[in-house]
Amino acid sequence: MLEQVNPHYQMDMVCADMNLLELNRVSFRYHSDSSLVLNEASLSIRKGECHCISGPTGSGKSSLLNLIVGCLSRPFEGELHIADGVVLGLVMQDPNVQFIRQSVGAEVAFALENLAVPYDLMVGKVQAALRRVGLYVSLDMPIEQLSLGQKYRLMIAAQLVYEPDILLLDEPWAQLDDMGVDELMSVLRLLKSDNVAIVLVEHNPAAFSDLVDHFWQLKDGRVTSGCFQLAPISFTRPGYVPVGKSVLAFEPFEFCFEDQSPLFVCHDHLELFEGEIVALVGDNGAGKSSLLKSIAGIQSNVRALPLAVLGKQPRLGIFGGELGLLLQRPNRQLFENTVLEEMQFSLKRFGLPLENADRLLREMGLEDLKFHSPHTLSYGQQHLVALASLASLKPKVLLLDDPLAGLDQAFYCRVWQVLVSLSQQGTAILFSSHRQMNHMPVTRSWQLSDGILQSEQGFMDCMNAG
Amino acid sequence: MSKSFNFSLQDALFIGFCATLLVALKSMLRLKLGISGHSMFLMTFFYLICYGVVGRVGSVSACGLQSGLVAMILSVGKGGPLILIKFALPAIAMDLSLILVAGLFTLRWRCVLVGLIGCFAWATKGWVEDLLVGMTMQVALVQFALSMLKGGMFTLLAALMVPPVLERLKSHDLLYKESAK
Repeated sequence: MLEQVNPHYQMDMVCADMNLLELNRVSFRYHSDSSLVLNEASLSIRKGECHCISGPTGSGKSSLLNLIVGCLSRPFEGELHIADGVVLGLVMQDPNVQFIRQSVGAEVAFALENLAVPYDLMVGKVQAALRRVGLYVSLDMPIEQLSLGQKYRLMIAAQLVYEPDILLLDEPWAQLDDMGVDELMSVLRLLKSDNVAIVLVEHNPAAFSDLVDHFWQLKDGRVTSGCFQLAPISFTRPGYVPVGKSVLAFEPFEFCFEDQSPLFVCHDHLELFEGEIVALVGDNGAGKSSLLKSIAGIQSNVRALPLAVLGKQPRLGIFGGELGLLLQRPNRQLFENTVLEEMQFSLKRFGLPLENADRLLREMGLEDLKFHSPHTLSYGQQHLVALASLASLKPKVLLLDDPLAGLDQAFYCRVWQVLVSLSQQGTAILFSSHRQMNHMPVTRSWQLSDGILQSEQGFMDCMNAG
Repeated sequence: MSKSFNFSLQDALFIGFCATLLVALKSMLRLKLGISGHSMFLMTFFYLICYGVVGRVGSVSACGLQSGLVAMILSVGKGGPLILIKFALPAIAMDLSLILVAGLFTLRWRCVLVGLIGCFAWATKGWVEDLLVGMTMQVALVQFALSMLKGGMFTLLAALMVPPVLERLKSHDLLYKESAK
């Protein structure tokens, strides 16, 4: 996002050792009757510095970035100085909200068009920016065909193309696979050596420790030095997982979109049993989200799969409350005015006790958000609310598309507790991730790599065989 | 009043959006319901939404004048150049009534009351037209009462829809300032 500096912001001349950006005792709240998101927050950023801000889910990290670039139209107290001529680039947590154009090339070229860069130079600059972030796709490729991780890279390229002085990144680790993080690291190192300042908002600051000069934590509206950390999570895997009824079965198949070559193939017979928690692991763009949507019967442009879910060929609307799907972009499935209404919507629809909503909110530590609008929550909080509303139904099959993105350790832990509790009640859970889940109570993994989907022999197989 | 019309860019854009959508919907739908007063539904709805979002004196009048001008230029509806009065009169009446009832009642009842005042202005315009074409006072009054009854039903329906729509806009954080409560 190419940001023009808000005229209300005070400008200073840039000197070699001067701050590019300085926040001085900035306080901000969304509504007059809500609590402070930022409480006298101060921060200064100089050329070539890398700052990392961590904090609990919903603590206001993304709001801080939005305030810096002037995306927040609401007034704030305190001072924000941005040096004269400084160009800011921001990649939001959900890059989908930033796209303006339809194709990859047009999106990256958008800023150049606004800067009146001659057309002859544009193509080279666009291609160089895409190569820098490791995105090797056609310039004409429609953005909607990219995975979320690829979209994140595209948005970074769309910022790099106009050479910003400060690059703000909102939770890149959660959206990128390990290779993507490595590529991003090398890009950021290069930018840093070119004196570009970088501000990262991150739940996993350790991933960028080689790069970061200053670690900050944002808690209760205050920015203090250090990393936000909670006690390490420890889970005990269930000792024995009884093999229940099969709820999902694949015969060997090729997964391909209509009129396209196969995205991946599966040579094995795959099954998901009651009470299992299976991780579908693969890189950005491997096809995880499309597979989950196909299982739920909502992916329309895919060739028919030899698949049975709860004994039926998946089709939109035939499973009712027996199957739940959490989308990667949770705001796509939130529509009510308050969190409680959101939770109760499906419960009412399927005639289930409304108390389930309160119980789940309590279990997940979301009671404070009960009467809050789900649409104004942070990305991580929206994930939690959408997951809680699905979990309250206790479906037979629960499909979760990257459910842990944007969560701090405390909520990460609570989500796992809810998932383990559901699996113990017989729910089969299949969730996607672009990272291995070795230390988590996952019974088995389905690996999706190099165009092949295969089930890995998990501890459950060993336990049950034993 | 001149200061009241000094809207911010966001306010002005929203008023223009409401006015355009009102005329566009009216021209596209071309509802031939055979029930007089159904035009009050769209008018009341968009005018009150404008009030709820912008929350300033003059916003409804501005919306009414704009939609009247657009309708007049595009020849939407019956009435020729007088279509301007049809759109603007209820809007001005609603705006004036809001000066009196701005802080009174709950939003729902305020919307109903203000909407009905707009409907009254609309029916009055019809009554004056009837008198001008030579109708007797007795018949014109009966026509006025019928217009008020039929238009009032549509007004009531639209006014009751406004608070939930505003609530939904607020929950999506689409209201950029504290809206009418």
